Amino acid sequence: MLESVTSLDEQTQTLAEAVRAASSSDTRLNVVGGNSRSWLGRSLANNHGEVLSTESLTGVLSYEPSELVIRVGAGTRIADMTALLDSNQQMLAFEPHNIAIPASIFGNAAVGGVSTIEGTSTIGGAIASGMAGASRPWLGAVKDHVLGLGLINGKGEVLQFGGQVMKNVAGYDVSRAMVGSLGCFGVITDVSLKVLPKPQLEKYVSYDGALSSLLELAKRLDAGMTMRTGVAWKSGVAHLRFSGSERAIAEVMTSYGLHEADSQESEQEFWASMSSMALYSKLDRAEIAKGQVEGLGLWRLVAPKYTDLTQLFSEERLTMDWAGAQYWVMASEDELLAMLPKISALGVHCHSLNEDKLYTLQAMPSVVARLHSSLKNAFDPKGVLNIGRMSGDF
Amino acid sequence: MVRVEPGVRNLAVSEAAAKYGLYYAPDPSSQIACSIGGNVAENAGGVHCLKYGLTVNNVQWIEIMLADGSVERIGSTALETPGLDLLSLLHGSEGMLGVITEVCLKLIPIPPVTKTLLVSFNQVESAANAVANVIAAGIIPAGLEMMDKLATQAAEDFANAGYPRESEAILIAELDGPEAQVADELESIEAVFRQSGAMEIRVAEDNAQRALFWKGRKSAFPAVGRISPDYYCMDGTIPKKNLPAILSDISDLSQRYGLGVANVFHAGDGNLHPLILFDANKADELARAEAMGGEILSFCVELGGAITGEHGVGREKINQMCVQFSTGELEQFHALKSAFDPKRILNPNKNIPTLARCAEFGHMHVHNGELPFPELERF
Repeated sequence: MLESVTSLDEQTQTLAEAVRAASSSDTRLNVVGGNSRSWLGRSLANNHGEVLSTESLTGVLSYEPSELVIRVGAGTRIADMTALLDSNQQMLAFEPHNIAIPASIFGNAAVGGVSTIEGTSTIGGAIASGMAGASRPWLGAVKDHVLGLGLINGKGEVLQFGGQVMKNVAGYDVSRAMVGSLGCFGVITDVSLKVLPKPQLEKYVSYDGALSSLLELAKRLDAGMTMRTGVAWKSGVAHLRFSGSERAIAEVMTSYGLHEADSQESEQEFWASMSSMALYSKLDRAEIAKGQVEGLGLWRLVAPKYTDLTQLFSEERLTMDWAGAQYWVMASEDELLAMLPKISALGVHCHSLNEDKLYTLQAMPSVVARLHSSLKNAFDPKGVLNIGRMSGDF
Repeated sequence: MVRVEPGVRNLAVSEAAAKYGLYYAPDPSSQIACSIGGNVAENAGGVHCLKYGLTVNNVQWIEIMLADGSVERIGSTALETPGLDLLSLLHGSEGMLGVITEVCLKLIPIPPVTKTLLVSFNQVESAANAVANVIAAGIIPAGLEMMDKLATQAAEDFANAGYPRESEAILIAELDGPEAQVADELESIEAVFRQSGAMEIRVAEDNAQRALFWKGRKSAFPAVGRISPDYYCMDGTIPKKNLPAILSDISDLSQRYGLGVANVFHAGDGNLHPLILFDANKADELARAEAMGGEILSFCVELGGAITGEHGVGREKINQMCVQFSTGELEQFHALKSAFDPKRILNPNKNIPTLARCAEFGHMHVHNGELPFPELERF
């Protein structure tokens, strides 16, 4: 059971001291939480640096369900948080992944030879990765639930931004800015998050059908505000998830001519495997292994909602969720590069999930890249934290 | 979604989108006048942000001109943008980091059903507890607003909204969504209000009455302007559980300073707008109102809140920034500003105080027992 702690100041100061020591000795640090997302971003430059673990920053600093706010140490495991919130009928609405996959999916070297990753994901890692789960299009992105965080910058200074209240515009919004920071701009020490009541009920629908027609249905459902919290497609099967009161879900089912899936349990498993990312391994393990031999890698394509990628890839190659705003596909870099103009015209970003030199296939616009470099200099002027993880420039 | 220029008024967006069955969710009370560019620069909220979020939660991308004249789109219509969340960083940055030249807003369908409740209480504390009880019951209303007796009476005189003049506090709660879901929530929320000691619960019978309930709330500021020559509006935030505590602090301050206060809150998200009543024609009343406002904000920080929820810092609250942030945090803000605007040509001297200014203000945050700039003379 997740413990309450009155303060993590001592642990935070210890880490800050380590950052100051690294800063003064030109040592580079590799910031690690549960080590379940080490495949994300570029391979770290120069021997990865010394490991700086946030493991000691574990525990609940404050949680009062009627405030809809929880504040925890960054090293707190998502599984433990979920269990605690669950016992109060609440949830992290952005469904951070608690990753449980064979590490070989993403290449052994990237995770330091670890052969499986099992549910060790931390909340700090979820914020730094910026990746939200299956409910993203309806319940919001990671940043939509971040209220505040503690940060050790590259100079080893212990800082707090935001807070535990819903509204706060004092100073720049550094806490939300750190979403997607990949640990390159500071060590996240604690996070305050907005939580939401769990829906009374979840019901699942699944049927055999084409990806394109599922997207059409998703559009119609969205226009009617129909309590949906998941729209996914995999191997010829459409999966939908509805959340709300029994009466409200029944009303939607009737008016859209949908039927509950016969096995609610297996559908529940499907959505759980989305959350653990096992989906992308379990069904594809052989395919991925074969693909890797052939120089294919797993890519995550993030798109505007309702994007139909069957215009670029054959349907069976695609795994889709977020109602067409996220796809997973095995492809070679060359193949994607060849169709890059078409991909970019659709507003799609390609994230590499492979042990390689890439963060995203498309370079950041030069102005944005320049801002990132300036901000790196503002937060980590001596270049201590996760060097090379996001960009070759820093 | 809709692309607008920054000078477009907030309400004009929802008016233009209505024919498509859509609207723009953030609705500050000033929405007939405030512009979208300003909404982004202040990260404006509104009476529906409890459920639908602030401006930052409803913008897909903005186009911004940086201090060096380059223009770039920040954010994207894709549901995730690689790198730092610069789009969030620019929200609430008060024109310090760049000039917003275009904004792409997320629009959402107008809910099929909306129910608005007017609930009155004979104790302010019961109203404050009712707010916590609603959330604890697992209901997230689209809006949950509170007004105290003075604000209620002023609003009633101004708008004839049908507010009960005798109650100590009123709540306005709004539920929206598909019919069955709203029906279920309405049942639960009425039960919570009754258990929390509500004297009267009225559910608006039609859209006209719904609009009237809101008219009183949205015109609370001008209404208070009629009962006092001047008023000074504060914008602190606190955790909801501390609503009774801050109200009692404000009431003590009101007596000590000899100035009346009308309280209007976005109660659901703990954002208070105490309106301090004063008369600028009377010697020292403005100074007293400002001093009292400063004390309210310090209380907000002590109670775990912030000095501004949605109105921003600008010049006016710059001293209170020294209360909320440490030296290291202020220095980090200055470094961040320089990363965007090295020559500091955008809104100079606003928003983030210099350390010297904080030392003069006398509220320098002493961090780890180390007094920054020990060479500076202090009283």
